[in-house]
Amino acid sequence: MNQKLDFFIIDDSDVNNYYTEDLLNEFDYTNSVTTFLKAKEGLTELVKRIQDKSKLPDVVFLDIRMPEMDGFEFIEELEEEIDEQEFNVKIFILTSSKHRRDVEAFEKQQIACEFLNKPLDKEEIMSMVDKHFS
Amino acid sequence: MEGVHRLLQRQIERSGVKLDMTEDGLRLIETLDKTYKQFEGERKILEESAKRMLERISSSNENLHTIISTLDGFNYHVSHDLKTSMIHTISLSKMLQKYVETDNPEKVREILDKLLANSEGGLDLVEKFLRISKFNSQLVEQDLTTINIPDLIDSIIQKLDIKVDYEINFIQTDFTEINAKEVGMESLFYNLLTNAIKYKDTKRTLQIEIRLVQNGTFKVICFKDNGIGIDLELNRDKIFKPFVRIENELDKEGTGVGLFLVKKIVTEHNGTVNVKSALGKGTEFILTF
Repeated sequence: MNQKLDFFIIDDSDVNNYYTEDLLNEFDYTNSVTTFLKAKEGLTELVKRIQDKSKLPDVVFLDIRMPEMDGFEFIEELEEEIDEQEFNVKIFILTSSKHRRDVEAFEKQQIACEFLNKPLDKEEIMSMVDKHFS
Repeated sequence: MEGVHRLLQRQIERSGVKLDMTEDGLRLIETLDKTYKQFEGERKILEESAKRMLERISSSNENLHTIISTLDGFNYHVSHDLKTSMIHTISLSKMLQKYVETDNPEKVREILDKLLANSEGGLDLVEKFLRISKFNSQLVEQDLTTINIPDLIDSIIQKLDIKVDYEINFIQTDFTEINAKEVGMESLFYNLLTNAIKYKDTKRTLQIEIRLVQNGTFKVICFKDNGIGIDLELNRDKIFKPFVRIENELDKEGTGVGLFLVKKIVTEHNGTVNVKSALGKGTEFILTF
């Protein structure tokens, strides 16, 4: 793969961000990793980049259960800001939850394309990147 | 036929029977009429009691729903938090496996520090859940006693050792004593007070106004502060849910348990909680027992 990828991780858990960032940095195709501890901050940055027409991340890892704005609220608010046809950022839910409620909510929405469970491992990231970027 | 029950009149007309208005005939109609009227009365009583039963069933159904959804929310939260803590342990251990092979003792130390902090956090979490469940069983088991509300609030304030300027005033005291569970009332006022202190507006002195209003057979406790307030349009559903924290400009840390307990305690006493609030103005909790 020639393409270099920029990643966002949005998760209120600093341990998860520390771990996932470290894992992503093992790959040659990783260009940058930016972490956000609050969904709102991640959303603000994304919206700013959409409006500036500057480089968007290729992948956003998005946690579900976060205080204040949670992952699905993030998706709802993002939906209002984007043109779904043109929006080309892959959003991967990254959660510890296997709860039916969360899986159903994931199936109902259109923006996020994968539902992954923590902790991510190397093989899983590689297969996801293969699937969406090769 | 005047004054005879409508239904009886109609039956007689429909049957086409010609009534001879002898004394016996009239007495017969009179007797029948009484019977009809009695049935009518009984039907009304039955209807009323059916309606009341229906109301009672639907209200206890509603209560059950609240209990189930609260329990569901509680279990979801507990299992999520414990799971998160375990996943952190796994993640950090995996990182250790990776870095222990490299010559990078500083990184290994950093990961170990995080691992230790995470385990301590996990222990705190378990202790917090145990405290809540112990409180729950204490609350359910305890008998009602007479509690003097101003005295109770005084004693909580003594224990709290409040560091900010504040005023507490009883504006109205139609009653001062309430028949309630002591452990519940203590926790209730403790949580209302600490909530008011935590979310005070830094621009003004904290003022708490308490009104104890007798409304018919109901005892109403109004607890009003002049703090930063809550945006009810956004947060009405979230306020009393366990472990949900509402976004606030002060960015205060909290456990998301306080108001959940307030609601729980009031419900345990078969009461209700209402909240009025406006951002920048303050919040008023209205507890009806």
